[in-house]
Amino acid sequence: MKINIEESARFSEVEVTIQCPHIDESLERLIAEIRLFNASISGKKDGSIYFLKPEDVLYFDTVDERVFIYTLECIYETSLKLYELEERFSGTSILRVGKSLILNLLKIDHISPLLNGRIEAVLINGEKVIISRQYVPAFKNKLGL
Amino acid sequence: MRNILIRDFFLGFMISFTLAVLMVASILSIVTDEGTMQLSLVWQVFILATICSLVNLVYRSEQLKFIWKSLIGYALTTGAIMGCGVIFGWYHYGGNFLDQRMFLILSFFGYSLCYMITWIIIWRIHKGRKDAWNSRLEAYKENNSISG
Repeated sequence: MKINIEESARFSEVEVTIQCPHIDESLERLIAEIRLFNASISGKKDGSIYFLKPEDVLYFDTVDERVFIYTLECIYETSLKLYELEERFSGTSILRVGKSLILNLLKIDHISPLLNGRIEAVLINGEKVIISRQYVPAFKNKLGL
Repeated sequence: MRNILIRDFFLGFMISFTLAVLMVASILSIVTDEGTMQLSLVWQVFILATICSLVNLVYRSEQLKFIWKSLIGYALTTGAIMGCGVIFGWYHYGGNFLDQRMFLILSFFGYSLCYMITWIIIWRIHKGRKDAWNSRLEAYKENNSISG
């Protein structure tokens, strides 16, 4: 892989262009890393705004049309919509697993198949979330099942 | 969710009703000399199948652990089958008093054996799938940071 870096005062911002014959799995991973480079999500708590690293997020959940960010320590509210978060983390380990739920797969401790085609995921903090039947194929595909 | 429960109920009902009719017909042909099945028995089986299909919904619970669902399901289904058997007088077909009691005990053990075999098969499938999925999850976590 060749890396070309062009430094010039002409550019107002950093722009990454990837030229390739086709996008394979490793390249997809690289693109996801670049997308997340320096990415942080702002979350509001007690009137203060915090900048959170995506890897600290357990999951995003919607309650009464308000989107909340759940981490190990706290719950924050974000102004971003669930579909915006889904788009932002597309191709990463943060995956939509329910109508109102986006889950960080790296924060799952273990999973259990349920009888009605859904999956129960137990997170590293012991919390249980349900992966909806509609999203199970995408989840299984992500794990390579 | 409600639609899924209703669908599961009717699916369970159709399966249990068909199986129960076939089983009753088979048992009757062995125990008695009657070549036909009384209409009253069909209604009784219909009632039992309805109760069992309702009991079956216990397995859909997400609050209960697999072992508790199995135990509650077993207790309620056994209770329903034995209870219906006693109420509808299924154990009074043919033979003397001792034969009838023996039939009651045998049917209990027979049912328990069937339940246990089915439970072991389901448990093995469930455990196998769970283990495979979790090993894939671990591999995924090892191979990926936040991306991929």
